[in-house]
Amino acid sequence: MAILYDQRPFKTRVKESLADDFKVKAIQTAQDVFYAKRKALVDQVPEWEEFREEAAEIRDHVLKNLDYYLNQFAENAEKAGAHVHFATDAKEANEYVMEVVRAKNAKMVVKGKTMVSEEISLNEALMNNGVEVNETDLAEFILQTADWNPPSHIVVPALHFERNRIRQVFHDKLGYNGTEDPEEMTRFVRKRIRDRFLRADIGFTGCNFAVAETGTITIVSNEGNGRMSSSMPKTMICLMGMERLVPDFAALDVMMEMLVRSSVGAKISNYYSMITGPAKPGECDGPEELHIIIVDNGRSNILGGEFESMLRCIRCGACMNICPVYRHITGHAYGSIYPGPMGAVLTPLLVGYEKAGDLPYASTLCGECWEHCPVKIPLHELLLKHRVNIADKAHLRPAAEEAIFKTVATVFGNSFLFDYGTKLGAIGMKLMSKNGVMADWTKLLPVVGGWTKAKDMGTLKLKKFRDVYAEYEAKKRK
Amino acid sequence: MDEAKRKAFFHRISHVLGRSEIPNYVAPYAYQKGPQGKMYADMTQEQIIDMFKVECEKVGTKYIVTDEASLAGTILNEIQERGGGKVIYPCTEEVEQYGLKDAFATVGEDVAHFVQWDPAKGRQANIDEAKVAEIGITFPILGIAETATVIQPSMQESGRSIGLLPLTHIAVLRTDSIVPRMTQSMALLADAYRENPADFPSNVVHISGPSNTADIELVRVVGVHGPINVTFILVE
Repeated sequence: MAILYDQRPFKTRVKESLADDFKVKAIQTAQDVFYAKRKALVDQVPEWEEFREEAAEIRDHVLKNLDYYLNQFAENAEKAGAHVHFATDAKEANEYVMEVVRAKNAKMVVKGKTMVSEEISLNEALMNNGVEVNETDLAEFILQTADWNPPSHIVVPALHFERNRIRQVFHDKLGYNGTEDPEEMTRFVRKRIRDRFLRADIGFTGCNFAVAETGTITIVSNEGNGRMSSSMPKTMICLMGMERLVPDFAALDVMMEMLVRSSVGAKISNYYSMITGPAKPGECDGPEELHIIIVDNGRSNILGGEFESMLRCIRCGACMNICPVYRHITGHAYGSIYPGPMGAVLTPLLVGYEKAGDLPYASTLCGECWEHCPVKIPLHELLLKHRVNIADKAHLRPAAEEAIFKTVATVFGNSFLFDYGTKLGAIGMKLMSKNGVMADWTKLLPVVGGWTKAKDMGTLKLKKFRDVYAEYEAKKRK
Repeated sequence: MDEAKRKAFFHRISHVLGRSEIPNYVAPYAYQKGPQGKMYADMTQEQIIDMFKVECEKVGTKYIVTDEASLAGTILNEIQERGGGKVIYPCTEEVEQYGLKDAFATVGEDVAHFVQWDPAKGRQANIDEAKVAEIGITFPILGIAETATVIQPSMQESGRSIGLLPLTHIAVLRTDSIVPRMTQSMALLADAYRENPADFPSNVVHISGPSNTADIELVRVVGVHGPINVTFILVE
């Protein structure tokens, strides 16, 4: 899957998402559950704000010295025996992967959760080269089995699938004959993937945090697929975004405090693996060869600029668990593997305004995302910055906008025109209204319909405040 | 070729950060904002151990308290409790220290069948044993009270597979190795690394209960890819 997996217009995607009752309800339930669990835990930590400060500072400290820490990480990972590659873009990253695939004559691979692999369309690259790919995160396995259906959430990507639909997909594609009980279906997947883990030529993982001082990569998981992918296959490939660094082990304490609580409202994940180099001589499991591919893919364009704070992001999903817009339009309306507020900021930075310029408008700018962000990214301000940038670029604006704003400027700048215009507007709205609000049929009108479809819109009064005030002043003078 | 690519990669980063090359030194981050160093500072070891137990109960992880002398018996009981079958255990020094081999020898084949991890047999033979074992026993080096977590390093004598492939994982933890938070465990791991980087374990996993998921309609299901049952045996 590429960063943008749905190229249709934003409004089409939104309409389609809004019409899917199960999906909208599933996202709303997830938001409510994660919100309540997170809140209960955060309320127990009176020092939460101090933790946020520290977490944000650690991330900024790393970003300001990214060349230093990245170099330190690479040196120490290599000392521990890992092969470290640097990939400028998706193409280079996939080339490195294919080099390893060819060297190992790999036919079948297993994958733990990695967002970078989605960014670079790794699955497509592998499959085009005849390699069998197995997603091992339960949700991603469901999506893969359903013909690579796109994810609707960054942490729980298959939320939009009802259990009976999952059963049907398993039945049709894998010959599953059990019930729609989540436990029974999970056991079925366990058995099937267990076999793949044990036979796979290569295990792929992502990286939550990489430690510069020790060359360690770390993986958070609940299901154990991260542990399996990094323990059973003889060759392991870790894909990491180049900004995913912390200075030392002490920082992992702070980051884990923030990540798991913010993400799913738990104190810690079931498993947290720290991997420093391949297996040592004499060890009887674990990867004999470890490749770490560090991916830029547009990140260096963000570094040092007005959007740099976006690179603090630790991919917890707290912003989408609170966002009122995400709550209604769901992950699929964003059309990006990075949905929600963080996705609306990050996606245009990675693919450009031409392709994702609509996303920064998928926000009320209420700022809840920023308040819930464990590394204090001012997401609402960054969304506004995007809008300003887009407004500054004439070719990105709708053609009619310029004419409309010119007219508005003329009318608002002239008291006679303003008075006359608003009176005329009030008369017009009265004609289109019923019981004081705009009539139903106005939903069909262009422009006006944009407002009246979603809410009751009151009409302008014929007698305005300025008229009342003038009468009051006149009376006072008498 | 690769070297040139790497140089270009770093040059681009240094350039946007406003410098021409990678700095030789960066003052370490000072950790002054966060409260982590002060948290639980007044607790006694006893209170810390209690916190570990309370957290186990909160998340539903089974724990059993025992002492060195009764450990072998406690392990055997728990093996029976979990249904017996094939049991795999490491060849670390704890096995000798607690006299486990002798205790295992007293158990009939109909109850449990014991296999020891043996580096001399090589990769495939060990994994083949672990993948069909019902129970795996390991000896974590540290525990974290705040989250009821045990920390398990991999080594020649104790492979990753033992605590990962079997249905049940029994982890034997000394209570004096329990620390309040990840703050302390990370500091200890950092000390170990600094003392001898080459000896640092290739894999250190934090384990906080059985494998689970909520990927289908947010319904919690225990046992996805890792063990379905976990028991912590706390040795006083």
